[in-house]
Amino acid sequence: MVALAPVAFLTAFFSYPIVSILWRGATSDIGSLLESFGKPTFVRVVWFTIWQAAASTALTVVIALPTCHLLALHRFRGRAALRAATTVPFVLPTVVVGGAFTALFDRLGLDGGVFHIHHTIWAVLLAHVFFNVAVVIRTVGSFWEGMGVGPEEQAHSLGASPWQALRWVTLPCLGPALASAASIVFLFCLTSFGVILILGGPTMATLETEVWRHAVWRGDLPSATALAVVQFVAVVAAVAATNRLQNRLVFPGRQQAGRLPKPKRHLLVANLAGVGLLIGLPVAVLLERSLSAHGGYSFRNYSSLADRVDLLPVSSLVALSNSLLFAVLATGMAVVVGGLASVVVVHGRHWTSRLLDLGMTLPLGASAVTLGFGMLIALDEPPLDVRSSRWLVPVAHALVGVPFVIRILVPTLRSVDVRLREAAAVLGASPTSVRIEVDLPIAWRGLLVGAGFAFAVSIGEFGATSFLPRSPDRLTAPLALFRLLGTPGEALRGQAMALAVVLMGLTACAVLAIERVRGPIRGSL
Amino acid sequence: MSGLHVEDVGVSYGEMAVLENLDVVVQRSEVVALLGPSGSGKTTLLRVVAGLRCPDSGRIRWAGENLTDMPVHRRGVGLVFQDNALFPHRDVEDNVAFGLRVAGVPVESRIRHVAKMLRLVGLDGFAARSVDTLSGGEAQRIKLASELSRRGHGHTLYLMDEPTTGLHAADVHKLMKVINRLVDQDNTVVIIEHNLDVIKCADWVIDLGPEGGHEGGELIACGTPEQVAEVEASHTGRFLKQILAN
Repeated sequence: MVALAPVAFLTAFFSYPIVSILWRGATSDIGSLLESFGKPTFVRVVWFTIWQAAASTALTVVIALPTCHLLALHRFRGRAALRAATTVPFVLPTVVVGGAFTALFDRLGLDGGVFHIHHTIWAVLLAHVFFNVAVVIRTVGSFWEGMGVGPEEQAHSLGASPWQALRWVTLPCLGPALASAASIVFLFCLTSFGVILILGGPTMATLETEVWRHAVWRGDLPSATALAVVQFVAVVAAVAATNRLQNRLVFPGRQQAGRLPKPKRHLLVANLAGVGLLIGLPVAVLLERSLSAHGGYSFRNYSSLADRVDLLPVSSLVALSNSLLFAVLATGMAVVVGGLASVVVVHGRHWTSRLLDLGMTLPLGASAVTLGFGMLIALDEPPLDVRSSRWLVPVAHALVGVPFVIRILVPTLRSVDVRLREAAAVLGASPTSVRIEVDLPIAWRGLLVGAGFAFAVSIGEFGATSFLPRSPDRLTAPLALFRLLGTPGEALRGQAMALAVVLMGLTACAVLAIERVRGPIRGSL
Repeated sequence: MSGLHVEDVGVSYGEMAVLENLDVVVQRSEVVALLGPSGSGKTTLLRVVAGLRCPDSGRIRWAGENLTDMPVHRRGVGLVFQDNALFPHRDVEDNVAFGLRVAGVPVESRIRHVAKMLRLVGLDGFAARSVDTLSGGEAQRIKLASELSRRGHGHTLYLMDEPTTGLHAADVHKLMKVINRLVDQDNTVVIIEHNLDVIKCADWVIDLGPEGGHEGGELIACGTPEQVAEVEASHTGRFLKQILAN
C-alpha cells in the first residue's frame, strides 16, 4: 500500500510521458523519420552534441586535476573553504551561470571584436567546466586522498621522474575514479540545455535545444519526437555506462589529514589563482554588474525587479514569488513521494524494493528536456488531461527532486540498527509506531537534507519548465531571467543580473541549510 | 498450561536446521538457563518465543494462549538483548519510558514509573543522561529497566540473551538481584548465560546441541545443574560437573 503513491506518481508523470515519446517515434511514418535522421542538419546536431560533451569533459578533467592534487595530498589553511568554493557552481541554476558568464563577457569586452567569446563554443566549454569541476574534485579528489602519496613515492624511490611517476603510476591508479567522474560530466554536458541556449546563441544546436526549438518555437512535434527519441537513447546509454563505472569504483580508506604535507607556495598560489579566475571571477562580475546602473553603483537594478517590463507578462518579483511557491509545493511533494518510496526501498520485498529504487532515480538520469517534452505531448487528453493545470510545474520539479530525497534518505534509513526496531517491537510498538518512534527521529536529518536539495533543484529548474504551457502570470524566475538575458538593453540586462543574484542567493541559502543540517548522515548524491 | 510451552518447534535457515522438533516446558516463576555451544540455536529459540522469528513448524504457548501467529508487539514478552539495543536518539528516561509511551501511559505516571525502575536497577539520577555516556553494565541495566517498566508486577515472561556480557562482577551481582526480585514477583525468566554465578541461580538448565557440532537445535539434556552435570553425553554437563566440584 505504501508503494502505491510513489508508483502512481512515477507512472503518471514520468513513465507515461517517456513511453508516449517512444510510442510516437515507433508508430510515426518510419520513412520520414529515417529521412529526418539522414538530413545533414540532423547529423550535424548529433555530432555537435557528442563532441561538445566530450570536449567539455576532457577540459574539465584537465583543469580540475591540479586542484584535486592540491586538496587530496596537502593540508593548508583554508583547505575546507577551497573545497566548498569549488562545490558552489554545481548547485547554481543553469540560467544563473548563463547570466554570470554573459556579465563576464560583457564586462571584459569579450562579446565582440577580436576576442569574441560570447555565443561561441568557448563560452559553452567554459561554462561546462565551471559547472562540473566540482564533480571531478569530489570524485577523483576523494579517491586520491584515500590512495595517498604511497604509490608515487614508491615510483620515485625506484628512480621515476615526477612526469614518469604521474604517467605510469598515479594516473593509472586514478583510472577508475577519472573514468567515473568523466562519465558523469559527459552525461551532464550531453543533457546541457540552459547553458547552450544562453551562451551558445541561436545558431548553436544540440539535441536538447533542437527538441525545444522544434516543439516550442516551430510546433513541429514529429521532428521534435524524432530528436527526443535519439536523445533518450543516447542518455540511457550514457547513464548505463556511468552506473557501470560508478559500481566499479571502490574508494580506498581515507588518510589522516594531519599527516599530509604542506603544499609548495607556487602550487598553492597557482591553484588559488586558477579557481579564483574560473569560479570567483564570473560570480564577482555578476555581483558587480547587478549593482551597476547609469555609470555608477546602486541598488536600482534590484528595486526594478518590482517593475513590470513589456518583455515579461509579470514583474520579476512576481516571477520570483511564483518560483518560491512552486519550490515549496515541489519540495513537499518530493518529500512525501520520496519518503514513502524510501521506506519501500528499505523495508519492501526484494523485487519491489529494487524496482522502485531504479524507477524513482530514473528522472535524475533522464534529461529535463525529454521529461518536459514528454509531459507536453502526453498529458493533454483523458485520463491525464492536466497540461494546463497549475500543479503541473511543481509536479515536474518534484519529479526531478524525488531522486535526491531517495538518494539521501535510503542510506540513512538503512543505517538504522535492526535491533532498535526489534527492541521497539518487543516493547509493544506496532510496525507503524516503530516507523514513527524509531525510524523517523533517526532519519529526519536525511529528510531535511533531501528537502533542501529538492528545493534548490526546483528554484532553478529551467529545462522541463520551458516546455510546460502555463498562464502568463505563472512565469517562473529562471524563465524570466532567460528572456531578460536574451534581449538587448542596459536596463533589462541590469534587471537580469539582479534577478540572477537573487536566484543565486536563494540557492546558496538552501545549500547552506543543507550543510548545517547534514551532520553525519550517510546519504550522498 | 500456565507456563511456557515450546511444542515441536522447528526452524531452519535455508538448508541448515537450527532447531529441530524441540519440546520444552517452563513452569511459572522459574529461572531457566539455556546452555549449549555456539550455533546450537539458543538465541533463535528466544527470538521465536519473542516473536522476532516465525517457526517453520510447531507452536509457542504462554499461559495457555497460543502465541505462534501473534505479532511481536502484542505478545507482552520482555526481551533483553545480548548487546543492549538502546535508542541512540533518546536519553535514558525516554528509553526506559518507551514501552509506556507506546502504551499511551500519561506523562506524569511515566515519569514516576521511570524513576522507580531506575531505582530498582540501581541507576538513580541517570534519567537525563545520554545513552552514549553509559558504560556497558549501565546500558544493560537501563535496557532491563525499560523492559521492566512496561509491565505490571508478575505473570510476565522475560527472555534474556547473555545479559551479563561485558559486565563487571559488581554489576553482575546487581543484575542477579534484579532477576531474583522478578522471580519473587511471580515472573518467569529464561536466560542464555555463560556466567557460572548466574547459571547456579537457575532452577534448572536446558542443554541444546548437538555437542561439538556447528549445527544445533536438539535437546541434549535438561534438569537441575547437578542433574545435567551427571549426563555423560553432554559437554555442557561435563563442564558443569567440573565447576560444581570446585
